[in-house]
Amino acid sequence: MQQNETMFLIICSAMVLFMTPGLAFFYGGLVRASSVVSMMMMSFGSIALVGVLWVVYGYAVSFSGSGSGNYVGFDGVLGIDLSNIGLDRVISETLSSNNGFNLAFSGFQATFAIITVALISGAIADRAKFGAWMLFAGLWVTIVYFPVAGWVFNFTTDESGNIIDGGWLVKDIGLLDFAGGTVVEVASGASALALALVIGKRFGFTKGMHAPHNVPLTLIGVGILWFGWFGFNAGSELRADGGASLAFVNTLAAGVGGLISWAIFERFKHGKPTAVGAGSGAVSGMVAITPACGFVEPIWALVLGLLVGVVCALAIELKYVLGFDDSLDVVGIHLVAGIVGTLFIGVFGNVAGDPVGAAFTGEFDQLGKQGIGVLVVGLFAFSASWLLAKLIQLTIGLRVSSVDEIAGVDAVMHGETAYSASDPRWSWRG
Amino acid sequence: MALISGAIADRAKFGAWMIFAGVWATLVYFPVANWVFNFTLDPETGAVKDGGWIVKDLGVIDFAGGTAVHINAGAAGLALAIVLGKRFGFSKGITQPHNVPLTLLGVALLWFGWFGFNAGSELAADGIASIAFINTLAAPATAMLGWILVEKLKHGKATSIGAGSGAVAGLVAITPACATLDPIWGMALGLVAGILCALAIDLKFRWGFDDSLDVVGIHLVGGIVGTLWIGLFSRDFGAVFGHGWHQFLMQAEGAGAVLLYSFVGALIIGFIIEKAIGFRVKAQDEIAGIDTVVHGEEAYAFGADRG
Repeated sequence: MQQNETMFLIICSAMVLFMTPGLAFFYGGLVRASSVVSMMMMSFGSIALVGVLWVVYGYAVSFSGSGSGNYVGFDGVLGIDLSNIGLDRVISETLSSNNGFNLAFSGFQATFAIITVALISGAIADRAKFGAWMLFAGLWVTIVYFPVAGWVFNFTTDESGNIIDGGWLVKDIGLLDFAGGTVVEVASGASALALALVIGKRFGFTKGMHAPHNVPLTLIGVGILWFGWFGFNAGSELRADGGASLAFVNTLAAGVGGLISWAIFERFKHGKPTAVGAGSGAVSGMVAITPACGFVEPIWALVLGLLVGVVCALAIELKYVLGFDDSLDVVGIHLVAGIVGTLFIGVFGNVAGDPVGAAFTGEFDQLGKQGIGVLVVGLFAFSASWLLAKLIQLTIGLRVSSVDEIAGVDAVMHGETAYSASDPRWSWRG
Repeated sequence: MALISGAIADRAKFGAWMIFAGVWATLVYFPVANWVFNFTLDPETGAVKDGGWIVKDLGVIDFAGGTAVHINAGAAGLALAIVLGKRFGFSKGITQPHNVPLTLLGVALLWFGWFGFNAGSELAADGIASIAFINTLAAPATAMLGWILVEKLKHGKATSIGAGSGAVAGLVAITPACATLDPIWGMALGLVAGILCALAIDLKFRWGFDDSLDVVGIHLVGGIVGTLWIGLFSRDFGAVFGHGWHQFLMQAEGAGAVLLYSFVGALIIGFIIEKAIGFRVKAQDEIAGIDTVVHGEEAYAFGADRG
């Protein structure tokens, strides 16, 4: 009945779903106190909307092929298994076999779709309309995430582990992406860039102007993200075997590598290591190891973490140089570290002890495949997001009015303030 | 047990609460849990052959505790809110959450743990555990949407407390039903529970009981909706799928029995404690804030509340 695998996947799914509130706190702590509700609502809204869409048709789009069910579409590129609308076929198979594995897998993948959308929201902090965001999130998963997840995550292997069927990036190109460096990190980062360009800069967008309002909240977010990321990466092995353990250790190694190198970089550049920098470093390390966690040895995971900690710390300065307001550094962290991590496999990667990286084989064909994966996913996500954002901007509007932005979006959009220090019942006490 | 405490926020004595908790658990929860959760299955047919009366004689389906946990706690919360009376300054909109991120952190932790609560109730990681798991993901998602939709239509704005409360309402409602519904009906349940609970939390203002943190509006209402839903839409017993109304009536009977027993039990226990040692702090202590009075601590050392 695959009870061990089912149990493993259910636990990992709970951990990965927990990452999205973790992200809400990570982002929430980074914005000013009058935008924290709006920031968190964009993540919680993603959980609600994408969770529903995934069950209704997302799984039927991402994990389907002409091999089974009632499939309509182009195999490996875009299509839908109509018999799996509402998870119908998985449910009846689960009931007849009493084997929960496939259904648990569908839930596991739902949590990936949820967090990928939520990641994008960091680019539009302090100024987005909640309704517009929800519309964007629904369209984005439908047009970008669901198909691309099929390109990367949907495949079947034969007994010797060769991919015999699946999405075109993984089957035809031969992209290696263990837990979603392309479809999760590059896609969300590229989309964040598009959204930041369309929505425009915040008032007072200059370096040092937007200090995080609650550092402990951000670090709670990092802690929850890290906890959940073990489920994200090790869970992507789908069973608790050697590959899962490798992914698990690498998630630890790359996270600490990123944390240390970002903090050291700050120490030398600005004289002081910051807590937010340490947290961001850990996140960049884990972003980078996401595609690579099953394909590199722990020592290389540590190297990758150390590398991206510095690269991302430099990359987040780009927004000031180039003048796009990627408010919470989705581009600088997720896009950049996602690209570095995906390409890293082409240099230092091995598949179950079989070297594929250029550093070991002297051949660059795997690196080329990784490059194609990054480019295709990045360009597709960027252009689709740009079009969607433009469309929303021209119809219902993407951004609040400048008066509302200055007043603070929380009160305007949600009628709430995150903190009220005094109890209004006793306001007569002064 | 801890769920009940949401009904008596801002004004309860800690010692009195601890006595109530001990007595209520002994006289109400332990027996009721036995009525619902304690049963042995016939190894051949899978039928219940021995156990508590609600599960064995009525045949109520309550997978993870819609009756024993949520209706039970909700009804007791209602009783205690009545015993303790209203807080000072109880009117709509006047008591605001002091820290929204803290509340949402709580929602996240609850949801995380709830997967264990619901899927774990299968006691094995099999197909049914997976169905319970997927419903625990899907129902709160629609409930969140239902709740913020009500807010949007009623007040013009979707709040984060509403989204969090909606998720909890969906989790509550799916608790009894998570194993017997297809996800599509689990999501429908979530939507209905989200909408109903969002409307139900206004009842306390109309009827004048100060269920401070909406234990009644969320856990009692959500628990009842979820328990009854099984009789309508469960795969193998639902009236909608041509299995007749028998299951629905049994669900209603089970829910009603637990509700009544818990409400009366909590009312009596609460009333005795109130008469014997007093359940509520003095008025001036309530206004000063019970943290310093009851625990000698302040949650945040900002001094902002000192004026």
